[in-house]
Amino acid sequence: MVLEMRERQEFQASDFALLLGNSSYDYGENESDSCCASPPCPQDLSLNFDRAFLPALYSLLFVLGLLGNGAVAAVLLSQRAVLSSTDTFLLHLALADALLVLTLPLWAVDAAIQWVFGSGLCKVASALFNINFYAGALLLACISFDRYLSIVHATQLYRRGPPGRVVLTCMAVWGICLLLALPDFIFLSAHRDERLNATLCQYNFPQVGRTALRVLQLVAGFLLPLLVMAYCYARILAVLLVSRGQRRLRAMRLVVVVVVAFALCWTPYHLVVLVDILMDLGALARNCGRESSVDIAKSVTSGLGYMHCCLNPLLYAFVGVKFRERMWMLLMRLGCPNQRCHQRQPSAARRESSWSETTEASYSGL
Amino acid sequence: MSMKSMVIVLAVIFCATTVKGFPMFKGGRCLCTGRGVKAVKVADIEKVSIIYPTNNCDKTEVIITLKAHKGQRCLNSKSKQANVIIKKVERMNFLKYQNI
Repeated sequence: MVLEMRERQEFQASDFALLLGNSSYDYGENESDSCCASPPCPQDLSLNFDRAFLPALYSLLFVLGLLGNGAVAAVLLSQRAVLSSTDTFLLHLALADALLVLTLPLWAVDAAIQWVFGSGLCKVASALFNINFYAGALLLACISFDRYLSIVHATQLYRRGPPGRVVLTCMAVWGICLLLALPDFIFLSAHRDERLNATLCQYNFPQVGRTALRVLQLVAGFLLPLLVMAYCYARILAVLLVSRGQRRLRAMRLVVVVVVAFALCWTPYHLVVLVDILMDLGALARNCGRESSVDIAKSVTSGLGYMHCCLNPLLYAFVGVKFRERMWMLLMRLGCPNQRCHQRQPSAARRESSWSETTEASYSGL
Repeated sequence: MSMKSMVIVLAVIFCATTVKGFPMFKGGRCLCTGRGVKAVKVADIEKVSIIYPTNNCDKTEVIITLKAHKGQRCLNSKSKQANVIIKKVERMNFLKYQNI
């Protein structure tokens, strides 16, 4: 209660009359000097936009993300015994994306009304969201590194080694993500925000460590994976450009699509945030209209970013012919449980190879 | 050459982004854009709101609602009048708690 009073204090004129009325500070005519230039910014426009747009977007992403990633996980799990290293990474990626998407209904309610779930769920949902965001980025980096090794150096770190190595790498990735999300777990809580007049799930960082923590999270959780991806795919492209082979073009197309999709999904959001930071620093003058358009742009472009979670299954798995075949077989088996229904079994040669286009692509350079 | 500079630009952008965090964890911006007026007529004041700093806005803001639908004004929180108001409000608050 005492804390809440510190956030905002309001007093009616009647309370004031006694206190200010007989004071000597009556400025009367002074008002004209900068009058009319100082009404507070109304934030209704962007808030109303968020209230309508975000719940709709999050619901759509929730459904698409669960279906797509669920399908990928089902197909890969049905072939557990013969998964290649890239497939294992893909399985974990699908899991991370599905878990991230799973928190979206909570954020939809948050955008529509306010955070009504209390501090505990605020911490858990945010940690889950952030862990899986980092896991997604790191696993993409692992996949690119795996392909880089097999195409550029023609070594297969994971296939030659003991089978536990891939799983160990994945465990390490999850461990790192857990560590990165620890500050979120500590510093997020449900707060009453007086400026927005609503309870929100917000950071309550100590002033000192805020930037340091953020930079650490960024470097380990985002910048590093991005640089690894950029380097590996650049080298892979260089090799593919001089190599010959039937599947060269298809493999190259896949590499380009993966990188372009990542860039297309996340760059607009980062650009908008850059404008926002320039405004914070004072390089761009603050102005109510500009601020609400930045807020709206942020909502839209972040939605585009989250959409990347739904794109991963399409890009990495469904592009592959074998993956689609396997998927149909799985669906048919669901349709008719008795064994007679499916005559087509994958041949022994097929069983040996990967179910996703990604590893198939990696052979083409050799 | 251009590759290197592009990497640096990207790095700066992403650094900036993470400092801000995702929009789901956003808070309210500062309500006042300019410095605000130095003073308003005391007789015109209908309501005074003092909003204290948060993670998203590190300023104390004094917003005055004027009588007769003349709207709201941001009061420069460093001005003499704002100081008087803040002090009086805090004192009033203190007294209120003592009474309860």
